[in-house]
Amino acid sequence: MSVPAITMMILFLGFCGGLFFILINKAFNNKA
Amino acid sequence: MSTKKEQWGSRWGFIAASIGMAIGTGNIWRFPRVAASNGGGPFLIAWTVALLVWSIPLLIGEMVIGRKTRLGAIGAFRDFLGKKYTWMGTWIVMVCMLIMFYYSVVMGWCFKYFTMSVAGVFKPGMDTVATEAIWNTFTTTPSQTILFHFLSMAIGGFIVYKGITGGIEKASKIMIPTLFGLMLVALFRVMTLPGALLGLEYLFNPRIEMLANPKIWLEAFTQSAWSTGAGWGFIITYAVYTKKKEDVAGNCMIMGIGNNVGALVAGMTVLPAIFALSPSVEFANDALASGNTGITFIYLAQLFTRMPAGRWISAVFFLAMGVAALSSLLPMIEVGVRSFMDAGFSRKKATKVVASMGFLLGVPSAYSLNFLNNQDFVLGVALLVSGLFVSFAITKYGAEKLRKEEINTPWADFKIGKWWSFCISIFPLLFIAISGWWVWQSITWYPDSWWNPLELYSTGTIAVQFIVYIAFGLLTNNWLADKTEKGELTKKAI
Repeated sequence: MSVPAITMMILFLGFCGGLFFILINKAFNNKA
Repeated sequence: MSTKKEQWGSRWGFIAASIGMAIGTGNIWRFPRVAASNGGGPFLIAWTVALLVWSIPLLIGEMVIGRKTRLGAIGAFRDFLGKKYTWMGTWIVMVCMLIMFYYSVVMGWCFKYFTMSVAGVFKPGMDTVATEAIWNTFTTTPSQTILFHFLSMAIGGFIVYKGITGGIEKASKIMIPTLFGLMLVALFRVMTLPGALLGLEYLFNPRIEMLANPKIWLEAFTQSAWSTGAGWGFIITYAVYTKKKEDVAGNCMIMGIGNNVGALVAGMTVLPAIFALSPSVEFANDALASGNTGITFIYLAQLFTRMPAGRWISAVFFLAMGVAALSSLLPMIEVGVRSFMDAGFSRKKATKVVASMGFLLGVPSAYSLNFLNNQDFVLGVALLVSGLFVSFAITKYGAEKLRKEEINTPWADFKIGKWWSFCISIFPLLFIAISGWWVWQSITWYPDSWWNPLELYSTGTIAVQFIVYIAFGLLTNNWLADKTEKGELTKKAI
């Protein structure tokens, strides 16, 4: 795999996976 | 009429059901193919922009409408916009139910292929001629396609019949972890194949210069619009059962991002599998060009036979597709059921009616692949219109007012800015670009007979079917408006 493709993969997985994790985490901690 | 509504037992239940709504077969059989055909990396960028500009704003808009009216789409549009706009809600419900009729058939295919994989029908050494013959034999044997369509509709109907907490929520809490588990099993197995990284290279290669190509943007927006469930009426319906204190924006972002995570996992499984197992690059390209059913039921079914324990990975893959299909079939049924319940039916009676309709009116799609493909094409464009109606409703009511009063509530984790109102305001322009592109394509596919409604993917077939839907909506406008119970918005006004 080329370096640009690896960079893109890390960015995308980081963005989508990270955001998903943060949102789910916040939802579980929301007492509303 | 009973006005007492069911309610989600927990926020996790609502989120699980909503993620299930968003993740369907489109994530598994369409996303990897379309992403690969549109340059990989640049498509992913455009698709992420589409999520933020089109899908999430629309999901938020739908959730607001459902929560404010506490009615299915028909009653919601009547209360939100006024009686003369009831037909727009009818359009949304009708389009959703028409999709349900053939979606159940597709779910049946997945479960049939799961049973065939377990039974070892796809033997090592088989070529695509053999798997194509199996596919053709199956789809031209109505007793089989109708049987599996019936089973799908019966399973979906049974779950909806059990209610929101006891049916949809309970099933979703099992299905969503199961779905992600199955997808991850397939992903890890495929990634251990020699040559799998070539598929990842194909998916993630940036090729930023390709972003100048408008086709990539149009394909990306279409994929996001169809895949996330935005504009389908699902979230209007599911929002009816939410608690008063609910984080609207946060929930909708979870649905949208969850959909994209599911699609990425599917893309990282399907493309590496194709590139690792294909005997040549030409074969891999043929697979990608073979359409949704071709890539899944002919090429992947064959490619799985080339790997150790392929039989079981094939079973896992088709089971995951079946579970994804079921989790999306449930809200389709519920959209219809909610509308009948708003008209005074009990849940049990409404489910029996909708599931029976789903089975009977799905038979033509189970019988004829051409009929199913025609419906899939026309209703894909119709869904864009549904989204337009949602954006119209929000704009007419006042996007900024709704943002301040209904979305940025004191109990919301996520407060959203004016970007949301802006996205809703530019929605008609995006709609014209995307639906116009699809209509233009349908003209180029049939330069001499694009007007002919009997052609499978023609402009004529879109026009005629749209006229029928609008006529039905307008003719039943007042009758349905009167028949549907009053929602919270009307009660407050009184």
